[in-house]
Amino acid sequence: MTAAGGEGTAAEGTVAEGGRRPLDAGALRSAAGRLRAARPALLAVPAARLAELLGGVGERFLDPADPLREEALARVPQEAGISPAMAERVVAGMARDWTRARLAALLAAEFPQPGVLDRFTPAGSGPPRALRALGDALALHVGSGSVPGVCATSLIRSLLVKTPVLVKPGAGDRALTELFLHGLREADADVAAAAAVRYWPGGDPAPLDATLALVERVVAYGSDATMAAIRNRLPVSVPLVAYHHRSSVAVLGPEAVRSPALARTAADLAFAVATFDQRGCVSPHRAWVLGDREEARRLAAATAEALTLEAHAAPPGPRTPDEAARLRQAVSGVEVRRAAGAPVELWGGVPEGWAVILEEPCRLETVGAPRTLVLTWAADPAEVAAALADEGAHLQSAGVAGLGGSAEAAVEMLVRAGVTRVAPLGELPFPPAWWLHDGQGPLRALVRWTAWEA
Amino acid sequence: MPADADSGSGGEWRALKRELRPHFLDPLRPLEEDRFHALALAAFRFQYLGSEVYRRFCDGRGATPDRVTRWQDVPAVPATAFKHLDLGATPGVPEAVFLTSGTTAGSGRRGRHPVPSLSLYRAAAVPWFGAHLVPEGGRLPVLALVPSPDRAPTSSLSTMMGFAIEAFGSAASGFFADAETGVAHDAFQDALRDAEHAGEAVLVMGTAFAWVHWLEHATAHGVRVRLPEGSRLMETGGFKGRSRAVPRGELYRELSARLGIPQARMVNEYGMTELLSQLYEPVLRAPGGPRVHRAPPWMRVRALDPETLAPRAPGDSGILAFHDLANVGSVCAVLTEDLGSVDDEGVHLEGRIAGAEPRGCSLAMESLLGEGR
Repeated sequence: MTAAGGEGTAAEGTVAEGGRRPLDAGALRSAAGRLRAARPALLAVPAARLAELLGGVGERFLDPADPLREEALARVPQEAGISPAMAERVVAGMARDWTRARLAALLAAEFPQPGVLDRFTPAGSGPPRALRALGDALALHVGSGSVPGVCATSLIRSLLVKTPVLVKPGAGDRALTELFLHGLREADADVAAAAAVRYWPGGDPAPLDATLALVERVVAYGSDATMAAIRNRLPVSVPLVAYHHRSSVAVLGPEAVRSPALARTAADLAFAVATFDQRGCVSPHRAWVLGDREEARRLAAATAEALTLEAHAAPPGPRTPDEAARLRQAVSGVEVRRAAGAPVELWGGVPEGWAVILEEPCRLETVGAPRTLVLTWAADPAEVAAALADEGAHLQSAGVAGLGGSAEAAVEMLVRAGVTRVAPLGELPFPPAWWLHDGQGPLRALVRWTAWEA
Repeated sequence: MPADADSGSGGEWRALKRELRPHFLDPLRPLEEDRFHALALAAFRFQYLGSEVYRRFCDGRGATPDRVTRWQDVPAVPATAFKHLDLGATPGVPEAVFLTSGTTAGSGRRGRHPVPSLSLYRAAAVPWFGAHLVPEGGRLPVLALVPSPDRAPTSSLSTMMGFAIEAFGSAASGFFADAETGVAHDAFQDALRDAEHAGEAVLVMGTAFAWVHWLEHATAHGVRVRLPEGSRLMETGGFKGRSRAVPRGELYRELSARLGIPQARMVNEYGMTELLSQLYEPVLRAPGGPRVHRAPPWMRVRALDPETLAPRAPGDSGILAFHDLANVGSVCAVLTEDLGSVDDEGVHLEGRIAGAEPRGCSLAMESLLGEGR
């Protein structure tokens, strides 16, 4: 089975590779026209039915015998630069949130008034009025990263709110996006006609510029520079849902780093660090132990052991040269600082493909190499929040464990520092479908509300 | 106590400076491998003895002056080490301490490069600069889009551009940016107009980021000049940690359209606070040649396998390691995060790593607008 990038037949293929017709403004306009034309049919399908339909496709990625999953597992490792074992983990973790049950729960979490995506619905409590949530005639969803599944999730979200969508996946995220659409086409061609996947390589702003002029909303995943560039190119009337550069952290209370919880904590932390080879915005790069140096050291050593196990269970993918260079800088940096008497410690290194660095309490810097964790300790959550004070705009998830009775106060401080998601450590890599993505409802960010006042 | 004080290592320091200075002042004369080798090992010995931090680092690798017999085996410190440690090798107080710029928002610490002798820095910087930006010699108006050295004494770039203006600038030269207020657009525009009317070739120089800002202003205000024939432009630095990046080809095209300087007369400089020597594209010195970067004779550049640190074959990509004898007062051997390849033509840069942003679902490894895939 081969899934084409476009929504049509191979003859209509428009991706700029593999000998197909190059992507140009005319092809994009044609695709946009077809997507817009599919909107009436999409609007006629109840949202609950869309959740069932999309969930049915998503569940195929969890079925070991399904050819869709097989092709995903064949394509994802090379495309995303991860090992086959990691690809299995990532596909399973992402598809967990593409099921009928999860998508129904997502709808319920985002829109407490059932049916508001289908028709005017009484608002319930509050002023007397009816509400309607409506998607757009056409949206562009743009990914520019290498984490598989991000753009398939984005496609699902758009169709759930009944917005026809053109998806441009990142170079490392094509397979799942294309395969999901392929599965949808098999399940319901009319609904699938409201989505298209188009990939174009970087360096040429022309396809993006051509597409931005055709849509009513843009959802983008990318670096701050990418967000700024898209924002500058957009008409003021077109909203941009920007998922820009984010980083995540772990905060572990004393109970989490003492026996018997220590091994579990270390395993969860290593799992969160290793998953996606730490390339996800949900991947923790820094961790604080609420305690003393000895406790932090104990966790660092245990996490190093757990990362060794992770390297066997789901080996790291090939590092890019810049990632290898960063890891080399970090490891050599520790070496030279140790020579200077700094009490910094290192587990792992370049040959191992992972590293744990125990630092003195200070502002921890992210290394930016795959599977590299910088860990320290803090007397209390206030110290952690102070260390993160300048990073609010770029913080995302905090994985926590063992906070005990001080959990509420600790979490409040993290929230004030900028964290928008607090999760059990082991759940960090795969947020549930209904998570508040970077602090906003993932579906509510995609609709326009209308109130019909009584 | 000043760095040049007459002590044991002070004497060695002065001797090294004496030996190096003639090479710096004659940058187009090749430095034979034997001579480079001898100077590099002498500098290593001096740095090993002068810096306790570096000595312990080298000891940890079993690399002592008695054992190291090739300059390639001198232990290289990672550029990030300058963030954490005082790597000065000379006794006494340095004449200047240069600070690196910040990188990604929130990534914290700045690197510190202690410079014991500004006159040695000037000696290393000016003739090599002149060979690439003013190869015909003489003076001309030099307009710099950086803060002046007085306003930015911790900036190695401002200091270097200050040296260049002293050496090559006419009375119409000046600095047209401030660390706090940015580019002084009105004053710079006046200076450009003056140059245009005077009909005298000028040298304009600035960071890529400053040029992008100026272009935005120039576009918004319709600024367009035609600088006299013979004018040239220097651009340096990338967009490390900045919120906006522009492909270099696009930047040069727009600059050429706004300033009237042909792209063939635009020179990229590669430098970093941790290194006191600079690399330039020889497009003015050797018109029509390849756009590669040339290191001065007292600097050796290698591309290394990031995994093993083994040297790459000529033309193969790796992380760049520099052995810069102008760094004699700190550490000559520096391992950067930058990627590139080296061959007979020179150094082919492949871009700088963008701060510490890991790639991922919402991160770098741009495939959309960047230089990338």
